[in-house]
Formats: sequence, structure tokens, C-alpha cells
Amino acid sequence: MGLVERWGRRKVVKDRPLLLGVPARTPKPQAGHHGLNSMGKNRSRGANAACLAFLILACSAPALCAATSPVDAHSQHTELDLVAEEAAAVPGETAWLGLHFVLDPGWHIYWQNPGDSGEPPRVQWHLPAGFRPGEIEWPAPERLGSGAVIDFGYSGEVLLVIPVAIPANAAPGASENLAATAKWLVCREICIPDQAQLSLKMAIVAHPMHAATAGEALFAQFRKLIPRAVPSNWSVKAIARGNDFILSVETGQPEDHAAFYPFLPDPIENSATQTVTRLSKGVQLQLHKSDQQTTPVVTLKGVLVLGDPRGSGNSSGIAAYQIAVPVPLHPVGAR
Amino acid sequence: MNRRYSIALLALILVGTVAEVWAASLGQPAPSFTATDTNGKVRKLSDFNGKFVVLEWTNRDCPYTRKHYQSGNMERLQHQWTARGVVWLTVQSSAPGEQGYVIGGEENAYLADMKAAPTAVLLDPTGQLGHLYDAKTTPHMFVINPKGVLIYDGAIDDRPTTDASDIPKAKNYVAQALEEAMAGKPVSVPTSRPYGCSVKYAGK
Repeated sequence: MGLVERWGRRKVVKDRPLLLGVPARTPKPQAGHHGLNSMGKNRSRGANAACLAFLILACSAPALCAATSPVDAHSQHTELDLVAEEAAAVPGETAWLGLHFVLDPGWHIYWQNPGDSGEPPRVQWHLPAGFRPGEIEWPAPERLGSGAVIDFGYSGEVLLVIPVAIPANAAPGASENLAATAKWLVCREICIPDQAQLSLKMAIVAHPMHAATAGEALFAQFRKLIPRAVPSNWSVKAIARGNDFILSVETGQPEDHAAFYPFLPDPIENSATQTVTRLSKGVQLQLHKSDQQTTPVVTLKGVLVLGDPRGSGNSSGIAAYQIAVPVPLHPVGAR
Repeated sequence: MNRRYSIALLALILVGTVAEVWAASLGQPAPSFTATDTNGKVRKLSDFNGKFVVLEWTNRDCPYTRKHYQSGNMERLQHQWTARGVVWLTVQSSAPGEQGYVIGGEENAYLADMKAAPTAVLLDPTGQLGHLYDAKTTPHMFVINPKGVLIYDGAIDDRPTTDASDIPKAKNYVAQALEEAMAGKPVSVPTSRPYGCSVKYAGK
């Protein structure tokens, strides 16, 4: 009999010994440091309180202390941190935060449209008055699973970027606590719903501070995967033909690899292979319509990913674009 | 058009039509099937002609299925609707060795434990029945009317979470479809995105 995980009994995969009251990592209070924990160091709340106390004592000015991430989550098959791109935030500007997931091999979480099964991660913010969170900016997903059930999501590592608007009347010199409750589903052969309380301290400063940090590299890496608008000199067309949508994209050069990820669950059969045809100036994708489509699809909306995710070893070889293309009904073979 | 061409064309059209019937399609006759239940009894969809039939795909260890079973929601639905003459068939399509796979005796014990009341639980370890209906998740619900037409295919309700506290606030699509169809009204929500864990089919 295969592996059966009893849900309700938290099975911690990696046990990290912790001495209560002793920080798991020596804090380094320097300008631009923002406690990035991408190595997934586990910290208990006791250890974090001690770390924070040390920081407060050691720092002469809040601006130097910058944003730290005292509470991260080491959960079932997931390391999750709340991270910030910049060390400090300016009143009236946008601070960029991120949910940094590092997943055990074989485990995955889901995209905004999870596909045939699964559920995307959700965030509930607990922010000081006037701080306004935006929507998650989802990087391009991968196709997960095989056979009859196909999902869209992320394996390995992903950063879900979220903007937070800092109010104009935020006080420079203050250190604000930005907290969130994250809920997610992590799956491999089985699925485990989980949640964590996350927070970080954001220093408010009168003038922008720009210092190269490890966090910036992480944000840069995943920002590249956030879908951008289609370049104005490209042409994107879609038609419905029989049981398929034919999506044609003219980029100006031949493309060998393409994939389409719809925002909505309805239009296409997720498990059907998307036939890719290289064109002299672009690419054509054949997308099988969903059997359960009850109303005609008027617009195909989703993410087009060009390039081979396996090509460069770390998915930097791909580029993602937001597509919203009208679908006129083709007179022949209309369904 | 010569005769051979027209015969070939006719054959192609007929094959096309027959092929369509085999896939589970809303508004179309639900695919017929034969399956064995947890008591070793052979069940056919045609056994239930003239009755409403609900198909419920299950995997008792999936957190979404547990949401509905631990809370008593699924059992309540089963009791309520079988009392009104609906045939409720729970289907188990997990492959041997995969999460949710059970043998008859084990499943019967579980049903007694949970006080569940399906008409029968169909064992589908090869996934044939699951693939016939294109069941994607557990739970994934189908409703067939007394004329054998598929009138609902999708999620159990409109709250796609693992949180049992969402159940009282949720709109139950199965109950709604049955109420509307029994009252002779068209089903207002014939399909929705089914939510749950993926069905653990054999040979993935």
C-alpha cells in the first residue's frame, strides 16, 4: 500500500534543533539588510523575540535596522517567508513584498487558476491603518501532472510578489509591523492544506534607500517571470475552429516553444496537449476546447509563455505575456 | 459525388455521432456503465432508469473530501436525497497503492463509521468509470435525470476550500440541480469547476 498521510497530524519533514531564546541565525544589523531567509532557517517565536530585542538594542537608528522577517514558516514540505524587496519604505510610495515559497522536491503549489484540481495560495493581510495591499502578481506557472488531470502551479521555488501602498502620512523613523496569514495547498501524490502567520518589520524613511541586497536578486529573478503586456509590434489572433481554438502569435521571429495558461477554468481542456506549430514569424497553438463550455467563449484570456522552461535549466529562458484576444466564431465547423 | 464517397461520409458521420455519446456531455445521455459495488453486486446505470442518479467521486483521505465527510455534510445530502428517491452512487477511482484506494469490506466499515448513506459505492480501481465521466477531482459531482440525461457536472458547492466552516455559507450545486429538475425547471448552474484533490488514476 502506498504512502497515506493522515491529515491532521503534522508531519515535519526536516527537524531543526532549536535552543529556546537563542537566535537560529546571528542577526546582522546593517543598512539594506532585510532578514531574507531564503535558506529557510527555522526560527521559533522565542528565538525571534530575542533576535528582535538584540536588533532594537543594537540599532541606533531604525532606518539602519531596516525590514526583518522575524516570523517565517517551516511547514509541511514548504519553507515560506514573507520578504521585502527594499530595506525601507517611503511614505506615499509602494513597497514590494513577496511570499517566498521553497518546496520539497516533487511538491507543488498552485497558480491563480490551479487547473483541474488544487487551490491557489491566499493571503489575508494584517496591516497598520492606511497600508493598502494589492493583488498577487503571479509569475508564469508550469504545467503539472500528467494524464487526465492537469494543473498549473509551481515546484521548487517561487516568489509571489505583492505591492503594498504606504500611506502618505506614515511617519519616517517608525518601524511598522506588516503581517499576513497565508493559506495554501501543497501537493505531490496527496495534498496537504496548510497555513502560516507571517510578518516583517518595515522601516519608514523620508528618502528612498537603494542598496543591493540578496532580496533584490530574488525579486529580479521572479519579476522576469511575471507576465508583461504583448509588445505593440506583435500580432495576436484567435479563431475557433471545430473543437479547437487556434491562437496565432506573430513575434517577428520563429518560436519553437509556447504554452497557454487560461485565467479562467472554462475555455480549454487543460489535459489536452497544446499542439505547437512554429511559424516563420511566430508560433501557432492549437488549444482543445473544453467539453463543459456552456456559453461561447468570446475572449481568450490568459498567459502565453514563450521559450523552453527546461532549456536554460532555471526557467530564465522563458518570457511570459498577458493575452486577451477576441475569438470570432469561425463559420465552418462551429460547435 | 460518387456512391463510395457518400457511404464513407455517412459512416464517418455515424462514427462521429456514436463517439460523441461516449463522452460525458451536459445535456446528452450520460455514458452507460457497469461496475461492481462494495458488496460485490454488479450495478449498471440502466438499472436506475426513471430515477435521478448522483455520482460522487471520492477519496476519503483527500482534505476536500474530508471537509464534507467530517462535517457530516456529504452524509446529510446522501440521506436527504436518497429519501426522495434519488440513487446516490459514490465512486472510488483511486488506483491500488494510491491515496483513497479501498477494498469493499474496508469501505463498508468506513461508511458505517461515517453514517453515510449512498445507494452503493462503486469500486473503480482501473479508473475506467472515472475516465468515462472525465472525473477530475474528489469530490466531483454528476447529476443524471430520470431520462438518463446529464444535467450537472462539477463542484459540490461554490466554496472551493478545505475549510468546513465554509459549508453553511456555500451554495450546494447538487441540491440546487436536483430541486430545480424535480420542479421541472431548467438547471440554473449546470456546470462549475470541480474542486478537490486530483483523482488518483492508475498509470499516471
